[in-house]
Amino acid sequence: MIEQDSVMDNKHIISNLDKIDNSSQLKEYITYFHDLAEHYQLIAENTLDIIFQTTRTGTITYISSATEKIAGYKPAEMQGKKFTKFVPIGEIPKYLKIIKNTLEGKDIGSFESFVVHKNKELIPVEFAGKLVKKGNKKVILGTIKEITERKKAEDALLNAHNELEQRVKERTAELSKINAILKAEINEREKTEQKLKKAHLKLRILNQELEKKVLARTTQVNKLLEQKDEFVNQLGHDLKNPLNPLINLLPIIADEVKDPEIKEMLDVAIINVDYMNNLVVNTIELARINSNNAKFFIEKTNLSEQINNIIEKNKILFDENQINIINNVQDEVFVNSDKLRLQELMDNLLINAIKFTRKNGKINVDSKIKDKFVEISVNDNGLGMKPEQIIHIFDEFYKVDESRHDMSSVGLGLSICKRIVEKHGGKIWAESPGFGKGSTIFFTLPMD
Amino acid sequence: MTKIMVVDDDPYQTFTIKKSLERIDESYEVIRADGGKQCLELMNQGVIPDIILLDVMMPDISGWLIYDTIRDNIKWRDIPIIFITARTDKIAKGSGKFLGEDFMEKPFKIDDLNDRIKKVLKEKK
Repeated sequence: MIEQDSVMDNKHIISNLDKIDNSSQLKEYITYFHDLAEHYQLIAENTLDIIFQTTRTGTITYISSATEKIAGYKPAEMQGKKFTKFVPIGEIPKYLKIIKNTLEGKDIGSFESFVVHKNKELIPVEFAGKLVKKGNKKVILGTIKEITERKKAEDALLNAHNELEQRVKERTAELSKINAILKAEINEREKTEQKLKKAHLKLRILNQELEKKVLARTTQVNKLLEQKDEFVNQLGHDLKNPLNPLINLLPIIADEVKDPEIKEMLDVAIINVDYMNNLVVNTIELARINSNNAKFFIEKTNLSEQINNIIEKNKILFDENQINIINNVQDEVFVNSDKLRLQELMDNLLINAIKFTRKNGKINVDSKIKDKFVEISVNDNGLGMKPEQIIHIFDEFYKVDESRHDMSSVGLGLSICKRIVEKHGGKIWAESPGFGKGSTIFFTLPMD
Repeated sequence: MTKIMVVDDDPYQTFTIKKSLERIDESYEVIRADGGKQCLELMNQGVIPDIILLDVMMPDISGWLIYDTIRDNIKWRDIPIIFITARTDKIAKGSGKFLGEDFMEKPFKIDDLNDRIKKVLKEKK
């Protein structure tokens, strides 16, 4: 009895064929091989891959039924036909070469290609084949495996790869574009900077020229100002001398005159001489303070003490006008000032305050420390000022009395005050809540 | 009697000061010197005042020179001097030399000049 351990293991059976000596034994072998062939057929017909056999020249002699699923043809439609009929025209040279290689006994292994489906679709497949003996002939035996899914995956991978590459390309292009824009911008900026530098240089040269011009002009103006000062001083001297006899002799004569009409005429003359005297003295004083040569003897000054002295000196004036003056300046506040100029300044401010305050009025002098300065204020509860007057009160020859008939003032007192304060490095200004509501003059002096 | 010498090249000034001062105080005797030259002539003749009111800017002999001459003379150097001038800027420039000397700025009220004279005379005693 033949031991049928495995369908694949027939070698020992074939080697035993010579030993067959009777028909029953032969019958047994034939049955065995018949079964074996049936088994193989069953396997071949039920495998998902196509199993095929061609002649040496590529005529299909057998093809398994899997071909119907893969290529759409029934095996009968393909048998007896050339294999190349079922592959794309472009792939034919490849097939012919492979067949040639196979016939030469070279192992063709496996390769990828296509078959043409009955519906003309190209089906990606993997071929594997071998030249085998069949009786005294040689045939090609092989398998065809459909690899559509694998191809799809491969294609998808390739696509993904390509897409990625494309994206990288795009991104790189985008980046180089941005880079180019940036470079252009930098260039533009550098150009602008260059232009700016040039403009700066030009401006500097212009500035220098301008400064030179200004300096020359300033020197010229200063020279003119000095000439003006000298002129005013000389004129002052010439005006002051003849005033002396008038000021001193006219009152003596007035005392002696009995006729009331003559006396009145003399009084008018005296008032006008006094006015002229004030005008000359104040004009010269302002010119003197304005002068570059004006020397200020700055020394440490006890503010409260100094103001008390000034008030004491003007006591008669306050008493005559029944004005209550209070010095609220804190003790031990020291300023850097020229004492005589400070007195001149305060005299002017106090006389103004008295002039514009009615009898029984009040004047307050206060001080406040502000940074490196002392702010001093002289406040009265007198006439006050309108805003349009406040703007002008430090102007030269400005008078609050617009008719200019006020003989007690020449309109220079506050101008002199302004110059004195400014020469000390301070500021002066006025405030008033309105006409009839009193006013305050503020000024600052540097602290010691 | 207090002898006051007033020196000024302008006779109207000396006239005014003499008339008004002598009216204020009857004990004053004001001697007029119309210029620097006349001042020195009078003093050389023996007219020695108790106080001198001296103008600075005079065309013949300047106040500065009169001042130096008086201060250099042993017999005269203690006489107090008050400068009278319209140009205080000139006084300011010469103040280094004349430091401590009094001065009156023209124009002045005669009462103020009188106060100054009394103060200076009092200080001398």
